[in-house]
Amino acid sequence: MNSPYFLVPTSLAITLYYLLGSLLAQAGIMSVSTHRKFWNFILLFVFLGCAVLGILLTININYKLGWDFVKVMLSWHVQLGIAMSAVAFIHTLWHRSYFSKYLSFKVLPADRENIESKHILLLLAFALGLLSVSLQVLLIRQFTKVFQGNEFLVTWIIGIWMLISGAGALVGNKSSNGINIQKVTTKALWFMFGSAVLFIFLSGEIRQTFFPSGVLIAPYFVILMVNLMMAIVAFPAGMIYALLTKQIKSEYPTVYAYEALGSLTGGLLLSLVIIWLLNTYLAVIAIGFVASLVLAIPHKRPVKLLVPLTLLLIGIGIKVFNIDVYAETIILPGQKVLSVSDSPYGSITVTGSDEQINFFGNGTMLFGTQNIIYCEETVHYAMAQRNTPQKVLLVSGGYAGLMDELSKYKLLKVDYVEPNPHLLSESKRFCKQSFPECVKVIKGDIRNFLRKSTERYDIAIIATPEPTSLEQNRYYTLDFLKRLKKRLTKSAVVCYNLAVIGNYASDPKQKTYSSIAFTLKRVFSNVEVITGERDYLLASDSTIRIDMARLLSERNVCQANLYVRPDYINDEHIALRNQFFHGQTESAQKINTDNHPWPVLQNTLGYLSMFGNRTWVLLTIGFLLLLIPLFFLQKQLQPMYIVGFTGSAVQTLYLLTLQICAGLLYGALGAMIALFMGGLAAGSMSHGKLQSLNANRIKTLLVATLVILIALWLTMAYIALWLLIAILSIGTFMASFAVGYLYVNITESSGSSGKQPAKTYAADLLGSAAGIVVVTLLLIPSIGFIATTTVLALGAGIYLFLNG
Amino acid sequence: MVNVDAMKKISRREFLKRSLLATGGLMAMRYLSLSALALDDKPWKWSREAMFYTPTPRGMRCNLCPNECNIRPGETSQCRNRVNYNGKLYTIAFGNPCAVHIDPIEKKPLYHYLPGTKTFSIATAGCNFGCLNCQNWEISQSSPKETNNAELFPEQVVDQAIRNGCKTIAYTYSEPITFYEYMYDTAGIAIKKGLGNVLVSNGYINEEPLRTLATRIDAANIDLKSFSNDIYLKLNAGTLEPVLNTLCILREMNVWVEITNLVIPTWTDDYAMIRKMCQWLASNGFTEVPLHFSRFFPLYKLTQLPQTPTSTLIKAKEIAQNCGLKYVYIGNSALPGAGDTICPSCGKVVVERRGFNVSIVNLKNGKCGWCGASINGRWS
Repeated sequence: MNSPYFLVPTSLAITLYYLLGSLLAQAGIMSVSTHRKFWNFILLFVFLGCAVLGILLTININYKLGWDFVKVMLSWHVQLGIAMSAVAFIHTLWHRSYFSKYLSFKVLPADRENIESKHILLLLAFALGLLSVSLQVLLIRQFTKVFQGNEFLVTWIIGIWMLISGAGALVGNKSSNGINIQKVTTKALWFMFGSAVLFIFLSGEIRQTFFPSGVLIAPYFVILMVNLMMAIVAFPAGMIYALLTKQIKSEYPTVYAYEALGSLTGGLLLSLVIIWLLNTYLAVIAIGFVASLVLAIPHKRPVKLLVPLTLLLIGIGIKVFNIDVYAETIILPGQKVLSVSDSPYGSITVTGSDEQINFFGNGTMLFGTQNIIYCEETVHYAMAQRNTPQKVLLVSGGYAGLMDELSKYKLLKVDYVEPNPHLLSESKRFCKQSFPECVKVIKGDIRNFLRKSTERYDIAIIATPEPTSLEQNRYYTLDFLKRLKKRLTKSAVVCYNLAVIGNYASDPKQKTYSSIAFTLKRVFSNVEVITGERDYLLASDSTIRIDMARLLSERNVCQANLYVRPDYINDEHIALRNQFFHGQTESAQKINTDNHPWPVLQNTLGYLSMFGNRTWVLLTIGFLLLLIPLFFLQKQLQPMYIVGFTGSAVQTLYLLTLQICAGLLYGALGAMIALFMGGLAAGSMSHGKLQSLNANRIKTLLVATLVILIALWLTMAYIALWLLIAILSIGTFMASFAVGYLYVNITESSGSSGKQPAKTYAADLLGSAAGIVVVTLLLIPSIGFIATTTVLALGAGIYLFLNG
Repeated sequence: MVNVDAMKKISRREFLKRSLLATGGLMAMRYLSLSALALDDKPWKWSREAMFYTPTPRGMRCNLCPNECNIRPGETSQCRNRVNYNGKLYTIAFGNPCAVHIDPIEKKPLYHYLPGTKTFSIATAGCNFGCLNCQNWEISQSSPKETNNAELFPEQVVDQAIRNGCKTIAYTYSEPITFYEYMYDTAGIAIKKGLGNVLVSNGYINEEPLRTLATRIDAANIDLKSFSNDIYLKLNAGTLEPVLNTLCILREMNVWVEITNLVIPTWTDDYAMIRKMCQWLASNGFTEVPLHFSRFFPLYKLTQLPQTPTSTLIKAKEIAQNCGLKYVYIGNSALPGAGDTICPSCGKVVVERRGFNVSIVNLKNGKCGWCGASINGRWS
């Protein structure tokens, strides 16, 4: 624990959980008296605890008893005092009418325009979709940054959101009749928004309370903390849907469609507009502003603009007073935060430590300037291999100092490709380097660049991060290397750098490095490693030398270097470490391909091993995720679980395929979300309206999307990029159309109760949660894309058709 | 007529019951596999009875380091290297190193001890600390039963060292205190064969085992990770005092000592604390002991911090020199001259170091060739 007292987490947790309970009471899910009894007990407990400890402390002091455990008592006394203050504040609000009587407090008259027309409720459904997708994306971005989330954790967080929303939908079904749905729903929407704003601004403070500065937190703690925070936002999201569908029983497909349209709007607005202009802190206010305009539509009074105006002022205030920068400083204590910005590519925070500029991407250190050893080694170990290299391809890292090193050579051309345009613009802003004229800076995906380029390079330096995620792994695969080789001269040298294999290679590390080495050997005749600050893997069809000191002397280069010089480099040491590396990577390993990103699984296992976990944890959790909900769902809803599972699996597979092949994930994310949501809306609305459609045909459509994906993977190398994107887009729409249609179909066949839509919705979400986790974390890393898609196609097809 | 609801209730209960049984079974299997010991008079082949322990009613108390673990039958120590087996305490890190390398002595880092020579470096898994930034965490935070090990008993270690032309054997990488008996026996054989013994350690050891060990150790690099008990606890899971005692005892027993301090942003880069540390070293007779300030890079669990700015390291060096420390170096950086030995008397370079390459510029019989002042070290 970092801070001695949990002021912010305790106050926040009590306040938000109280408000959540209050919402449940207003929705008739629990009685007001039960809610109040619960909080009365909490108040009694914390009051007694605080009071008793206070008395004991007083006795200890007055009578000089010198108890050993005074510090513990004091700590608990204060912690309970914080809780007591928060609960007492709530109680004061309960009894405010008692006090207002004495203070002649005039309460403003309630808005009497509570017209529960169908249109208003559909508008609320739209607002729900708008807020829930946007807040989910923003919360995930923020939690990823604060808790240093990786692909493993992000997938879990998305899955947890869906699970909790599903639970919310089931609980929402238990609401009593006769409640003011519009009022309760509107309150719940603002509760969601308010909680999300608080979490986004206070997540750093919460993190610093419990964990020391800069420390990677164990995944189970992250999942627990995110669980507790997400519950407050995701739970009402599901609950609201249930309330709305109960109210408009016969038109629940319309509610579903409006919610999907709201999600589509929110997703597009956020991905294509807001996130390009504002960081997460301001983006959440902007989304609230948009939602408030939507919610103000039915009202006729000018006061309806009060909320949007207030949010606008808050947004301006945040920017003027740099509250966003201050919130970011809490996440990175001891560093001077220079900039906080977001883009569809992620979040970049730039800090300064004296003359050193540091770049953090999603909370993890990307690079810092002033790292001379790394820059010199990365560039010169490769450049020295050839007599007079003329054309160099540099992928990423230009502003880290690599370009400065390349400038020491008389080069004809340097193509510097930066896949992350956001990082490029921030680097340009803070690193203030001027590049020589021969340098051309290219923003965009390297694979697309290689596809279009006609150059042939002598040296290719790939300075991207290590293959710890599907996104990063695409620069290390056989498919990428083959494409790269087409753009190299016959004697060209490729250089990668990885964290040193060190003095001992654990199993995951040994498998990762072996896989990378083997993959390189498949494409190039010679692969060597030079150990320095990192391990520099050099690959070429021509000779590669590792006696760098001698090589540098022979070439008479690097006189201007501080570190990579003949008098610094120890050839004997390099040779020994080279031998060790080869010894560790000689056993056959899986080749790293786009289809089967083997290093990603190994890196995940390596990451988990830091915290004492083993592979069985992954498997057990995946297994439980699959089985448990199936046992608790009604038999009629199990097909919806499978449909949800398949639908989210398809969406995940399509998104990741797009990412791996075209590198357009971030840019196209908004469009893909729009297609998916649009498909859901179209599917649900078309049920019963188009006679040519029936359940069996739609199930075939769903399975067909998986078959199309298999075909796509097998023929990808021969398909033009535009056709690839078109097929992926159509497939996404087809899958979501099927899910939307089947949602209505299964709901109708499950019963005519007003509670059925929410139950089916819950089953859909539970299945979706399982789908995304199992596919992303288990299946793809273990068996690859094609096998995963095949298993899903067979499994889903057999189940859906056998179950009628 | 079948009561579907009742069936559902039974199904769920039955499912949960079976799940719990299955999970319990899996966990029991895992527990047994991890703690499985050979049915023999020793836990396994690579074990030896521990040298420092006391049987107590609560188990075997290991007296090796200040953790002083109380180990019950079948349990292992915090460092993962000691087990209570058949009424005795055993080390399971004996003859089974997981890391074996030949390194330049400067890598330890030892700058004033046999410069330019090679050292045969070994380590088993295990450590009595849990540093958040450990660069060898894969072995330090594991048990020897979890790592892929070589078989190299003490005699073989010494043979290999001689065969590879190494002047010394270094006990390093993880934490050699945790493979004490292996180190102790190997060191004894090494001395007889004319090799030196180098200890690279966190210094977290009790006095009696330290004094016993020090009779066989020629040189040591001790990591003085910070000068705050609070930071020692939060960053390393240790305490400061025993490390300071270790420094004093090693110096008292004429072991050549060099000290390393890793400067970590927001953790150990506070200049006031560095000054306090240097003042303590100066006032306790360590002015002639080389001090290495090392640059931090994000590693293991400390990945949300930047690397140490070079200006911080330069400032730390200034502070140390102002406190009277004569030989202060900066490691892991390309700063020109950061690794050179400067004569404290005339200020000229006597030993030039570039990475692991050493060039004796003007040092004769341990004295500065320029002015004749003595340069503290074991130069040959």
